[in-house]
Amino acid sequence: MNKIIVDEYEKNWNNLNALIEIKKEDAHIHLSGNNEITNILMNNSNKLTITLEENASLNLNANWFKEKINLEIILNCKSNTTVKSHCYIETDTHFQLNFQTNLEGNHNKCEILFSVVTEKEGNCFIKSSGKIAKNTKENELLEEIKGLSLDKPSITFIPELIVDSMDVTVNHNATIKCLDKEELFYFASKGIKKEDATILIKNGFLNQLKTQGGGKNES
Amino acid sequence: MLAIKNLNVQVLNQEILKNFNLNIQDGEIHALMGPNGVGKSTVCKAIMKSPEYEITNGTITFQDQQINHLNTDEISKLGIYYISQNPTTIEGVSNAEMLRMAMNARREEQLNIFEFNKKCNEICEKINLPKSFLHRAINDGMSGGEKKKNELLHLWMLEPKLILLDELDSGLDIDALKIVSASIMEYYQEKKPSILIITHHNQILEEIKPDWVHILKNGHIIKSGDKSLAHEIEKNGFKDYL
Repeated sequence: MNKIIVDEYEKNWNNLNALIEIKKEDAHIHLSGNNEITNILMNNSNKLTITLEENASLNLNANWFKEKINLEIILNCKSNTTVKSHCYIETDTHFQLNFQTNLEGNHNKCEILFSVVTEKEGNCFIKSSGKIAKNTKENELLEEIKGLSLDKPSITFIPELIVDSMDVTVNHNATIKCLDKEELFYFASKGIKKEDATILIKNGFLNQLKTQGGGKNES
Repeated sequence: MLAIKNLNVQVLNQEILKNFNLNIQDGEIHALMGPNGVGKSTVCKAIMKSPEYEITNGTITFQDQQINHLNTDEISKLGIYYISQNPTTIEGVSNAEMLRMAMNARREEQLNIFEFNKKCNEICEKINLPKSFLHRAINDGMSGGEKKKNELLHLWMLEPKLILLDELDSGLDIDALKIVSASIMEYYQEKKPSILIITHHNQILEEIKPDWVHILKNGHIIKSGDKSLAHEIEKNGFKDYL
């Protein structure tokens, strides 16, 4: 697996496939093409901003344990572009994520699929801000956000959609669920103890959006 | 095989079973009948130690081992298999993933993946189930009949010694009931497990023929007999036992 160390404030990549380690207190990464980030090590950095440029896609799988995370993902759609951000996160820490979507031109497709599993003292705060500019046409914005809470952590989702155009399709779906006693009993009745059942449920939850989303951008 | 003695069970502080007794010998098929709400399903839930069901008195013994202090997964691993009337749906987890974990939980050494795949394929062929079911999420998007067939896949893979069928006929049309029952009888002929059937109707008992039929009222068995008792219920209903 590639590991890339970010030790400067601003960095540009195309078709990145790597684990990223942030060495700066505050860093900003610009991505174009199809990108796979297998994890992000924050090293007590204050904040990371990832901007997806036109026609970029991002698959981010991250396990954030014992690190405070403050992440911002900006999706910029100018005209005739498709931008996808698919994130699958496991965390037991304080985690704040802002999605900022800007659809400024016409005929754009923007897709945010996001799953988070929180455990122990995990505290997850997700804000998704979508802005569709005035007089734009035939734009599509899909936000599918899902949270699974394994213990007693808190998960907060805040949608903020500012739509200034009549010719647009916007979908925002958000679901939060806890570990289901019925599911645990079902697995136990097959001989699977709670710890192993929790792993199955957690992986199953993360896999749902993975199978739903195409990930890579074809355009 | 299974001995339940003087069992009292509460759900939400309400006593459902009172001084309930039942003995099932090796290879015997028993049917527990009664109208809605008398606590038939509670018997299965209590045996499986479902969290909301509190045993306040009595014992449950399986193969000479008292099991009412065990956890559900430990009870299952002893060889007790429970099919509920509406099997739980679990999104995102495939049958294969769950079965592999369940089979590994019963073994000291991890099951070889090739051995596992071979057994999965053999069982699917045996019970006439498309192999695609192995990779489908557990009971997700399945009809009532498909869910029960899916549970049969688990049954054949896990090879239990005692099967608890809680209203197996619920959600099944007559053809599906015949297919599912035939598979259970094939398993019975091959492995000789004991079976406890919970039902309102005689129909399933024409397919899985019981050695004993019991009527449940006021939280305990008030009458036991052979299969003719089920015929009597079919003819006259439960009015004589209300």
